[in-house]
Amino acid sequence: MTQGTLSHAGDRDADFAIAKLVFAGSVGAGKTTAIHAVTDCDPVSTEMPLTEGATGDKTTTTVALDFSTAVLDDGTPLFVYGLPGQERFAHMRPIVLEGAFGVAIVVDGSAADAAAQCEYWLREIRALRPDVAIVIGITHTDVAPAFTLGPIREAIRRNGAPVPTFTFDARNRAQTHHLVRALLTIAQ
Amino acid sequence: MPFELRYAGLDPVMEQRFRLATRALAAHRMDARAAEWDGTRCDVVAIDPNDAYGRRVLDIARRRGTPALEIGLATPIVESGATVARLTRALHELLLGASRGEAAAVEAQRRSATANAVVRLATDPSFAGVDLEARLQDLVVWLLPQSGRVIGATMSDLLRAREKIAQADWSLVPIGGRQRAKPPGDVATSLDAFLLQGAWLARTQLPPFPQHVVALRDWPDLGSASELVEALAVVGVLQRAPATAAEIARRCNLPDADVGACLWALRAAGLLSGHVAAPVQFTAPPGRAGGLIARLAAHFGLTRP
Repeated sequence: MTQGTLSHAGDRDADFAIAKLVFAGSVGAGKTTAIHAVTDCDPVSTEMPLTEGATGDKTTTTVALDFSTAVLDDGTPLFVYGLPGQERFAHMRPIVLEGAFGVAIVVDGSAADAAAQCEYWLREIRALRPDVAIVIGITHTDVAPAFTLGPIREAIRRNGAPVPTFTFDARNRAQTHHLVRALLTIAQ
Repeated sequence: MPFELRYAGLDPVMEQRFRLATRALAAHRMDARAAEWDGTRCDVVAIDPNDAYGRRVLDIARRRGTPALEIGLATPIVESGATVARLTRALHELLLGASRGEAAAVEAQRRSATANAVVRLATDPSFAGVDLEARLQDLVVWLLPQSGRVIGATMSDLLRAREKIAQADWSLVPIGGRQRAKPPGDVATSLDAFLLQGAWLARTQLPPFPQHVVALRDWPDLGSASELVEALAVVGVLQRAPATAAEIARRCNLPDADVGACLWALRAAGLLSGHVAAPVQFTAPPGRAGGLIARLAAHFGLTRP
């Protein structure tokens, strides 16, 4: 397994040498935490102090991208990337998405515009990689008692085929793994 | 209503004693009346098994499950020369047993109508898409299909409710407009996962899921049901095409009870549309895609050894 070339998901049944998974979503949704939950080591992140909108424990944000790895049972490396949430790094998204077998969109469920964020990221990812498997993970619902899934489901329906949409705790390894399982379920 | 007692094949003396015994039941606060057997339903029938007509009536009574008081030399139930007091005692015991049995039947019927909130949610059209207050003694949760959430006072309440939602006798009442301002608490979790986990715990007690083709309307929110990989497999089949419970069980290689529990829960959550006209034929046998995805599935615990 020395080759390092990555193919698009259209080749997903090919015997890849490297697996690539991408977490996408808005700033503060929990992408870095989710990446930590599915990989074997701490993500290499380009964290910078938030200059505006710092709330609670969230005092830094990822610029450029996150990166971490895990190793599958047969030794295949799994590369996990986090797309930068900020618009000024949007030009990096197609580069990071190249060769990914799936994308997990992470959305902050406590945000008033959670449904709009889902819609935005679905369109964004599908525009860049129309054939890639997508799941949506909604975080922070434990601190949002008024959270409702209805508008998010409607937003997803407006944007083509339904995708798995889970509320989950990005700090919880089992739940984050389950989100990836859903991704694999539709990628099969 | 008085107990209806009938007699058949008794000699005139025993018939008279039987009538007197019927009236004597008043001492036991039982209102009863006696009449000759006429083939209609009754609470007890007294017969002489030594009489051909009595034996025929006894056969009918047994088929109907009507308690019979056998009076005769050859029977140990009540001896042929039984006194009124003896007959009264025997009738009292029979009627007491009958009323206990009837009460038990009524209670069983009541329980089957109200037990198992998951099946009720799935089958009662008046509950479809309606936000409900579910109450079990002191335990109160709100089931909110419109928002896909279940709300309780504490996490402990939600866990207790989840354990019993597919097993116990819940009262389910639509949440009124004014009531909405006073939820039982502010601890919320996924309704889909809640119902699924509850149904899973009771899967051996749930009725078989009807064998008609069902389709998935939306992906269920299973994020907090990470222990139920089987549910993901069921949903994985349905997201490709509508299917019957048997087809899903075959494709996922799961027991019928496991698939049934998932489908009852999905239907209770309002995520299944049923009665699809033409059953979908699956030609390919169940199998995992090879290569990378299969290795990833194994890594993330999607495939079990």
